[in-house]
Amino acid sequence: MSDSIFTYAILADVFIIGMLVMVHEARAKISALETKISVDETNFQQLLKGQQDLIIKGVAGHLQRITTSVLSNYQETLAKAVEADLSVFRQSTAELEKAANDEVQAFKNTLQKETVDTQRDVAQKIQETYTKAQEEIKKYRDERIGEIDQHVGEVIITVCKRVTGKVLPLEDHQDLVISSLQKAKREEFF
Amino acid sequence: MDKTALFEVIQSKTDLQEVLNQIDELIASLYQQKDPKSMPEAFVQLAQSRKVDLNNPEQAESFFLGLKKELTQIPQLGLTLAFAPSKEYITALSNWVHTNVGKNLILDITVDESILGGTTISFNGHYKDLSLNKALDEEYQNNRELFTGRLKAN
Repeated sequence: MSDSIFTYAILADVFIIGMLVMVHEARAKISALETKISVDETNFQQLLKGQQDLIIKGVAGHLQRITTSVLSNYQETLAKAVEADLSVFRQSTAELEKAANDEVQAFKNTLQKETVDTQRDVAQKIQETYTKAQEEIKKYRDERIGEIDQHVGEVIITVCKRVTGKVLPLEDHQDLVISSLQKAKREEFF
Repeated sequence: MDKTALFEVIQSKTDLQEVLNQIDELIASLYQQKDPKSMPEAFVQLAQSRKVDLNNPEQAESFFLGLKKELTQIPQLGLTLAFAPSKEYITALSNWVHTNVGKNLILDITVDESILGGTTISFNGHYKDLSLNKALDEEYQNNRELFTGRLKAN
C-alpha cells in the first residue's frame, strides 16, 4: 500500500509537477502568446491601419471614380437635359416667336384695318362736318347777303336822297313842284 | 280893290296871318283917333267898295271883324316844299293855283327838306304825296329784286 501511496504520491507529484510544468509552459505560451498577441496587435494595428489606409484609399478612389462617373453621368445627363431643354426652349422660342409674330401680324392687320376704318370714319366725319359747315356758311352767307341787300338798298336810296335833294338846282326844284301840281290836276285831285 | 284883289295880295298863309295881325291892330287902333290914311290901301279900297266909312269906328270894326271872318274861311291848299320859296315863286305858285284850280285859295306852305323835291298836297281833307322822296322809295321798292339778284349772282 505504501508503495501505492507513494507511487500515488509520486505520481501525484509527478502529475503535479507535470501540471506545474504544463502550467509553466502554458504560462510561457501565454506569455509568448501575449507577446505575440502584442506584437500581432501592433502588427494588426499597423496592418489594420494599412488596411484602413488601403480601404480608405480604395474607397476614396472608388468614391472618386464613382463621383467622377456620377459627375460625368450627371454632366452628361445635365447636358442632355440642357440640350433637351434648349431644344424645347428653342422650339418653344420658335413657337413663341411665331405666335408673337402671328400676334404682331394680327395686331398689325387689326391696327391697319382699324386705322383704315378710323381714317375712313374720320374722313367721312370731316366730309360731313365740311358739308355741314358749307351749308351753314351758305345759309349764313345768304342771310348776310339778304341783310346786306337790304342795307345796301337802304344805303343807296339814302345816298340818292341826300344827294338828289342837294344837287337839284333851285329851278329844277321849282319846276318839279309845278310838275307835281300838274300831275295832281291830271289825276283830278283838285 | 274888291275881294278878289285882296286875295291876290294874300297868297299864302303867312300873308294871311300878317293881314289878320294888321286887322287886329287896326281894330285896336279904331278908338285911338289914328289917322285913317295910315291904313293899308287894300283895306281902304275894299271898304270903299263896300261903302264902309272907316272913319266910323263902329262901321270900321264891323267891317274888319267881318273881313277877318271871311279871310279865315278862305280854303287853304297845303303844300310842302323841299326848299324855302321866294316871294316871287310863291306868287307863281299862287297864280298857277288860281289859274288851274280856279278857286280863291291861300297857300299853306311848309318847308321840309326830307321830301327832297316835288311837293305834298293837302286839300279839302285829302292828301297826296308827289314828293321826290316817295318817288325814290317807290323806285327802290320796284327794283329791290334787281339789286338782290345782282348781289346773289356775285
